[in-house]
Amino acid sequence: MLMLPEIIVVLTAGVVLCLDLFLTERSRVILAPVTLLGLALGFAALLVTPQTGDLLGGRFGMDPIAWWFKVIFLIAGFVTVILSMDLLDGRAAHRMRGIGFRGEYYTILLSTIVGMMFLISARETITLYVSLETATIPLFVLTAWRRDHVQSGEAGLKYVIIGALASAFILYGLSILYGLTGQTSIVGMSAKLADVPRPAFWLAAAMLMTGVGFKLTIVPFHMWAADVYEGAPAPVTAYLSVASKAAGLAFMFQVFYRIFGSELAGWTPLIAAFAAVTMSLGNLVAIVQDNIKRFMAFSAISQAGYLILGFLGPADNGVPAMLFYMLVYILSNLAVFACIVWYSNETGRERIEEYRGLSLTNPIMALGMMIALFSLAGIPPLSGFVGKFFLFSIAAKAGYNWLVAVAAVNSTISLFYYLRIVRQMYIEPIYEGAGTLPVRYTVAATVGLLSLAVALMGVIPYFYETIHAQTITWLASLIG
Amino acid sequence: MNAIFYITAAVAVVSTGLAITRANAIHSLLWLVTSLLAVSVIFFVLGAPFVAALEVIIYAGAIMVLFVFVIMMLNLGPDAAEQEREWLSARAWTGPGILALILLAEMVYILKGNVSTLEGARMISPKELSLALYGPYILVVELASLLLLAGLVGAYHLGRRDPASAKELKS
Repeated sequence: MLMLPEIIVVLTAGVVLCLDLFLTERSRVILAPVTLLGLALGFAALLVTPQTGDLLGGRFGMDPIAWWFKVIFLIAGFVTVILSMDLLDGRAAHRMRGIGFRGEYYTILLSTIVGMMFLISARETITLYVSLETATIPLFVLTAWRRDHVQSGEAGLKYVIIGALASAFILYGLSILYGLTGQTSIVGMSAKLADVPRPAFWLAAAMLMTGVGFKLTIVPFHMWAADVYEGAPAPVTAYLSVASKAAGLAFMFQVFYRIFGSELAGWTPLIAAFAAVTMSLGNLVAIVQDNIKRFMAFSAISQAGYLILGFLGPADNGVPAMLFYMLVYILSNLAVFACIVWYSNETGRERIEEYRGLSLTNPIMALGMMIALFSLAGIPPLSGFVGKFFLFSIAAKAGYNWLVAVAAVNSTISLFYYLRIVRQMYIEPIYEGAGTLPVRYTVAATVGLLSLAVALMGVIPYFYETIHAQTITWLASLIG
Repeated sequence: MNAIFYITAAVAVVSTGLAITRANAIHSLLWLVTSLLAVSVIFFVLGAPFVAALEVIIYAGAIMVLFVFVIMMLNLGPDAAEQEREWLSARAWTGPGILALILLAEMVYILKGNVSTLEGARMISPKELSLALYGPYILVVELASLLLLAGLVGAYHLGRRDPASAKELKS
């Protein structure tokens, strides 16, 4: 029962792959709804799954943190399928060459979702590593999905090389920890860590930090992000920027809280430095970007910088704040990407100045995108502000006042560049002869619901309260 | 017994270092094969004969030989024979050959003696390994199979030469 959501998603992947064999090219349109149905069933199963418990002799565990991460992964996967649908089914006005092959696409997408769901539930390092690979390796293929497109292939190649390097670091770090403690179970490993020789422990920790930094795009391990985000097909970029990042955070939780546990205390200056560099570099480089996908890559890098502020404080403050911010971030980012994918599908335009006049042709879409961008920037009534506020207050409570100042300055800078897009949409003159672009109801519903959620989650404290209450009870049981 | 481990580890480190610094792909592959054989000996003295055998059969055997074949096949042409002779000159294979001989000598020594693992290590039989894989570690096996399936589907997609999408666009 505990594993039901994962089992449903795996079965969906199998069903999609097999259905693809028996369908004609025309009737493959039903593959996307089948995938969506599978993900929705998985979500329903997750809702009835108990929030605590373990299986297979404690190798697969469920707790509120894992539960919330699975919610995040399933939402990200669901929206990505909706965004991919029009492009893959050939309903886009601006056809892309070399895209299609829906059965394979959805199968691979579903297997990365399963990998991520197992990643956060793994209670043993071999499972942890294999599920991390299951979540990462298929993404290389998705990035290079447009086989006859040079940039897509280049992006895939860069991703695979740097990804393999990062994965080697993670594997080496985990092997050193295994060598030091003789345990593969996370609990056993963590219990013995206090006695291991420090230099070896720090070596392993540095290697794991490198791997985590790659997944979360923390400077200086971010260099792959811009090229990969730009080259990948737009829906895949959306998925990379939300689900892959959430998986990085999940892996960081596993490593930092479960394995390192109390050893984390000495880390805070290092994490503060990483956070400061990440948010500053991401922001400064984002200002000069021209391509919107590249721009979102740097925006995502700076968001990762804010996110890891949560590691500075004690776990009972940091965990709910980071989970809440991750939820806010994926909803806002997916809303922005829904508009990007839709605009690119209808017009083939991906440059920032090409968004001019969007508010006149499609006011609702422009409004949705604006709300989401403002939430990413952290404008007060929206949820992005609330999320950032919790994270900044953790840094301040931990005594990192300089870091809060850096983060506040960075938020102001980010407001400037998010406003660049809004200015193009609302102030710059419209393209000559541009008419209203058609919006399919799925896209309209997605953008509408996501931006509504982004706006409401900041005002209604229910979500944060729930996450906070649930994770706190769990953490209390762990400590006490 | 520990001496064997250190000698093998030295062989592995030296040959891996040379494998990543050679400019010629064939030479580097020869060093890589040696390095994999050394790792296999290490697995053996650690008490994992099954993994050691797999390392030899799959990595040093199948994958590396496939690499060598592919590189040699890709260079068809009049100069190819001359080039291949140069690749297999004595200078190229003596180094890996000597290291491989060291490994062989170690293997003979281990198989003749009555101690076969490092102190503190226990020989794990294939049966024990399979019971562990299909008992407590079943989740990892299933996940790995999912990963391989996704990898296979992806490789198929990237590798297929099918102009259907181009044709579809033209019509």
